Amino acid sequence: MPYDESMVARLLEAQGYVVPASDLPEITERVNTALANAAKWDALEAHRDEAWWPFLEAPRAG
Amino acid sequence: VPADDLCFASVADQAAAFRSGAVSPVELTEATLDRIRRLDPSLKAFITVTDEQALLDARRAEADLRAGRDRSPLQGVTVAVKDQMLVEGVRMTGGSRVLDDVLADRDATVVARLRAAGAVMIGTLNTHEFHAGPTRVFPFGTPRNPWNLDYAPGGSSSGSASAVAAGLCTISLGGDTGGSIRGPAAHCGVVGLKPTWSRISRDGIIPLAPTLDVVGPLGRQVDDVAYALAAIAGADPRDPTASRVPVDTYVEPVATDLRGVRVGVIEELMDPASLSAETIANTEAAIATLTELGARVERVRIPLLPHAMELMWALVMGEAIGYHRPWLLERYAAYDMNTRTRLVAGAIMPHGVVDAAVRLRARLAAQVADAFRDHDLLVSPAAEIAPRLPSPGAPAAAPGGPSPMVAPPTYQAFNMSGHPAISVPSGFGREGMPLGLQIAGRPFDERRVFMAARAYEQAAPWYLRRPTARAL
Repeated sequence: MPYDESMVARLLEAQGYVVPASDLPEITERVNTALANAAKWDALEAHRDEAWWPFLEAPRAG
Repeated sequence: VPADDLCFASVADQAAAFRSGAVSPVELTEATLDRIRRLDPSLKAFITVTDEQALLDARRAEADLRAGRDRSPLQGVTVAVKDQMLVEGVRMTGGSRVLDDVLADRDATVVARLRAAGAVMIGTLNTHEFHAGPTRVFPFGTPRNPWNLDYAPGGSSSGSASAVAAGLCTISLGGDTGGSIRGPAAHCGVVGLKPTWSRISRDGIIPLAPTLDVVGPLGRQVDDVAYALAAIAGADPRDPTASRVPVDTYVEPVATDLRGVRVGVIEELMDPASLSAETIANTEAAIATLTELGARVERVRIPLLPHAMELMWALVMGEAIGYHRPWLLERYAAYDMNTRTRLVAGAIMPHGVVDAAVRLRARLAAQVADAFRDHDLLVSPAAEIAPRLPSPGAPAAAPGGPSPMVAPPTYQAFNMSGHPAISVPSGFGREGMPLGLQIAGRPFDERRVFMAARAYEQAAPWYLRRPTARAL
């Protein structure tokens, strides 16, 4: 469910941030964009078993 | 040697001139500082110019060479670093008012390694604030593109690219979390390498998203970047994430052709829905050159790649907030509006968003690795031409609106996967603005990336052109 500006203000205040009201539309838009993207990713993410991280010690072939 | 020609010479040519006695490191440094004084008021590539220290470094390099103490090909060569790296005795700003009174009490490991190689440190370079996406108001001046001052140099390593392009240093270091080296390199017509994640120590460097961030070198020619990587790569006791994989020699071998090299052209990045026809045509021409050089070229698909940019931003927001929280609590208004709204959005992001991004990132990284199963290298456009700067007095860019930094979906997949990728100049587009070809390789296979980039550069020597902005 998308956030609205009053919810964003409450969540930020609860964490101690002092944010001017003029910033709230932009913050809200950023959070809602990420929420919409995440809903899409859940549908795309079919395989969860690839081991790939990290390759600190040796080159990974292919 | 005319002073301006000296400032545009390659590392190899400068090194040879120093050793033959034709030119001294002090002469190069003085010529470079003179160009900075003349040109940087327009370009705003530098935040701090360390002229006195640079002349001391240059005199030491000159004395060492005369005494037979030959440290490396970078001895006496001018270098500058993005203002996110500790340089002892120099303020580190991160391109932000938040840190404008912080003086570095030591060198970052990469800076110490450049000094140990005998390089001459010229200063710190302008950047988008904390390399956290497009900055609206640059506190140290708006960086401009040396090919046309009405255009941006790209970012976030803006000064790192424009200073090299304009002959204000020979080598620079930048940082790349989602294209911040390769983008400005392409926009300014220079070479920029995002090395394999963990190849270079990040000690003493302001982080953005630690699982994505890398430091990398920029230069006018491929070999200049290869010399710089050799000087700074490798394990570091100060950074446990720096890999212990042995450092290659990167300048050899010199290949004059690419016979036997299997190159995959990334289908999703040759799509007219994602990139302009001009950029795609430029890349097609570069691919034709690779084919003429003997490479076996095929198309390859990375189906999740179009999602890489949105994944990158979710991960950046999730990872960056921890580092910035203390400053956001104390100095919120000192941040640029774009930076602070992005950072605090990360503070209230539902956990499920970052979790979903982490999971899909693993899937995307596996697809990138799969694309390398039958290919040694992957290629694509590096970027569109640079964005035009907003007119003075125009309203500040809103999210999604005109911005001095554009990030096409070309870069981020290799930040997700950690593979190395280089941008090498591939010609010019409309209004004479540079374009770049991106060449990616397997983890820790920078050597082959350089080999292909070098062969292309020799066949298509776009580096011979110098920036044409009126002020230059």
